[in-house]
Amino acid sequence: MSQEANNSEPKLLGLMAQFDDPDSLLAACEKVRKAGYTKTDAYTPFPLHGIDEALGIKPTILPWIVLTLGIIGGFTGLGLQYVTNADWYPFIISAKPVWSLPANIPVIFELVILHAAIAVFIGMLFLNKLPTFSNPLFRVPEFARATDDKFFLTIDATDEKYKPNKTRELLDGLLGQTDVIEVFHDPTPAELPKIIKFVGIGAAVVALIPPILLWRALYQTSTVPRINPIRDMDIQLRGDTQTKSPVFADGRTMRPRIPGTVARGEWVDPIMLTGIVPEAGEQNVLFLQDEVPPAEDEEKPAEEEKPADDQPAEDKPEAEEPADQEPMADAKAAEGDPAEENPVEGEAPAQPEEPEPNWVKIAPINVTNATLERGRNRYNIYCSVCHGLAGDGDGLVSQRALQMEQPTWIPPTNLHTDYLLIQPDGKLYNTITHGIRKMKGYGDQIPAEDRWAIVTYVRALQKTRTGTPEEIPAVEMKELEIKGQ
Amino acid sequence: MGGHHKPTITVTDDESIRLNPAWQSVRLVAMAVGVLALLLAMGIGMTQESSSYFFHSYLTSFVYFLSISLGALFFVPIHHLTRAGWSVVVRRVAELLSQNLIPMAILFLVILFPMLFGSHTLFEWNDPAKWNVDSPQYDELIAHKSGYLNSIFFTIRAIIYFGTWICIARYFYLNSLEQDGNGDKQITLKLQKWSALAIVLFALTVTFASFDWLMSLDPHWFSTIFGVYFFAGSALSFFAFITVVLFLLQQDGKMVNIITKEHYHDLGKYTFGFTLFWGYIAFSQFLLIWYANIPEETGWYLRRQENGWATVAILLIFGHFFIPFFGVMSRHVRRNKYLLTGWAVFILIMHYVDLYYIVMPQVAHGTAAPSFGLIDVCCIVGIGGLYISSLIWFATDKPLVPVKDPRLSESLALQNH
Repeated sequence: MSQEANNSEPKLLGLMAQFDDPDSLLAACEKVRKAGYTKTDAYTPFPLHGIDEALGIKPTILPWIVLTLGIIGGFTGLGLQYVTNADWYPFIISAKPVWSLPANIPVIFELVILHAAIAVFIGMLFLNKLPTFSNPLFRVPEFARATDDKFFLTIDATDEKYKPNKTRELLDGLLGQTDVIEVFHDPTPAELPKIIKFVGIGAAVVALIPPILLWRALYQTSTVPRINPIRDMDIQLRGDTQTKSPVFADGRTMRPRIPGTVARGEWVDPIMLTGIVPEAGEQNVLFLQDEVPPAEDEEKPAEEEKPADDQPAEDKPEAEEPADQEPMADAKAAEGDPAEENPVEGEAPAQPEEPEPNWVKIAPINVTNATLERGRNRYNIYCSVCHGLAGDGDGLVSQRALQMEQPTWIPPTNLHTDYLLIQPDGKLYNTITHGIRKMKGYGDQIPAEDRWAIVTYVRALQKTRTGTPEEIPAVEMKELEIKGQ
Repeated sequence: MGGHHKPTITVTDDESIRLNPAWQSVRLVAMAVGVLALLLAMGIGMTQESSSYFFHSYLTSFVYFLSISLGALFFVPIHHLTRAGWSVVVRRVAELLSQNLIPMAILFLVILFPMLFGSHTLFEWNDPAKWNVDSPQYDELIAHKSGYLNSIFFTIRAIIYFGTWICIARYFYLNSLEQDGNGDKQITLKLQKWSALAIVLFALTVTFASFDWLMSLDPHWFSTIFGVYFFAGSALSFFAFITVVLFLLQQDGKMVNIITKEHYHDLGKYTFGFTLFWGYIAFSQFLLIWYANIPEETGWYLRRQENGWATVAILLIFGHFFIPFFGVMSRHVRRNKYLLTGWAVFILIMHYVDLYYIVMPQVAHGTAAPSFGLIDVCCIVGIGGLYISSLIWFATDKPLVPVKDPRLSESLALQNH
């Protein structure tokens, strides 16, 4: 097309012979192959049987690529399921073992097929050297008929056997009727036109906008609900709080515990849970159920029968007395000989006939600094609003109520009263759990461990009023002395 | 197809495409051996305490050879339906194989007659005590299924199946023979038209026949995919069998230049594909039943994992799927008729194991252990002998290639890529 138009001499790529029918092409291919040429190719308007053999084209290696990728896919499927099902997230589904080959085979099979299919597609493109956008052959005008009614054979100039005149003679002499065409390298520069560069850069910039918007949205709040294209994670067929379930006759979404049972892994020592040492042989787990709190049964009638009696008896005198050193001595003595006497004293008017349960005397947990810290933390959250940060019964709620002179307000108990000093830990714990008189039970809000932590913290608070200098370790005493000076 | 400048190739109807007369003696021997073997099997079976083993073994061999013919019955219409060109040279052999459905119908009487006279050694559901509420053997599931599973309706269905199959087989065969004489191209078009209906009828009858004759051996069990499972085995065994037949014919000096390695290659592709298909379907059936874990369904597999049947099951997984799958995967194997025939024989053996695994655990209503014995050998030899004998009888004096089929030259010039 353009040999004359070029100033620089274009590079010769090879020779192309044109034939009129497939038989002469096949014959020519045979001869060219026998002459020892290997970098050859043939172009026909339709698939031609025997052309592979005539040109000496080797069978494709595509099947081996597909087989390899298929086997890799199989092992990928196997490994993926082993790692996820049996190792990372061992989950038993419909009573099948976590590692169960029959259930894994469909995924293995699908991954074999997927890998093989991808290998066929990519491998085919790769082996055919696709995508190629342009081929120098397209610049030869005669070549257009390769899709119509002409047959072509090319010999590459890089072929070892290629010699300009000899090859041309060979092709000329093949059948006498061939037209030999020289194919030249594309003379146009390989650079892209500038306009395409600018359009490309512009398109790249425009393409950046959506990710930037997404990135911006990650760091901004919005009053509009977010776009939710895949809703199945958010909207699920499950029972939400305060909704009625269509599944069960009673309409509850969650099944209540079956009375008399303890769920696996939820067993807690009854002493730990109730603060009561069970009597010999008493192995009833019923009291573990929220529905049947045994200790509460004792308190509730008392609450209704004689609140008037109790409150003045406990609250008033204690509010007046800023408990000091004397109760401390009492408490120490009392702790030694325990709950048999004292609770009777305290509640004697309430239930003379009903004996106190066998309260745990000392909190059944390991008391460490961490426990005390936890107890302080929980106490400050739950208790201090009424009982005050120091336990004097002067919490903010109480102060406010007294200020407003609320008629029904009963001031909370001062935790430093004698009565509370000698109370066993179990009883204190029970009060936190189930409440007493006007105080509400906190058993539902505070886990058992934390309740015991609060008990120990209350004991520590009490100690701040009853402790003696002798009880302070010498090292810390020194520090205090230094600070005091 | 323009551009092929090859002259139209024809086949001359001479001795090279007709059966060697020497096979006539083979036919007589095969028939005699077949009858004797069957009588021997029957004799051994009857002298034993239970005839259950004989009937099950007979059914296994019967279904084995039936399935080969059913595969042929599938092959012929499907190639008319798809206007396939390559298969013309092998189609006559398939047509001849499908003719063997006629002797199979006669051999089925051995199963049908005892049942009509109230025998329930083979089909448990034929026992009236199972339907009777007052009987201690009352079986509620069988009683519910008795509307379908009873000897009268069973017989009617069997007549419908064999009637349909023989009609299809004869229709395609006789028209093909007619074309050999007059070369009428309209016959090809006519067969093309009817092949669609034939395929539909084939699919329905084979499905229900497999339900009746194999699945109902355990009347509690059901698997909706069982018909496909049976079909997969049938088609596979047909392609293996026709490969062996063509190989033998070529060894005998017939059709030497007509059947090329290109045709073996295509048959090998089918063998490969149906090996995978069988494995896929067999596993699909197993997985769904295994996963759902419904007692009526899993019982069937449970029986096949006890008493030594687990070994047979594992043999099937490898022998019927993995080994032949990799065996015929290579193009090199498929284009070599000796290797391909070797694999075909292997697959034919495995197909028997497959049917043995389906039928034999039901001996004495599901208490049997695998025990391949003289009765089994006699049944295979017996039915096989009659099968081969009748195949030779059908093939006598007929061209083994449809010599005037309009697509014959395309088939002769076949080249694979």
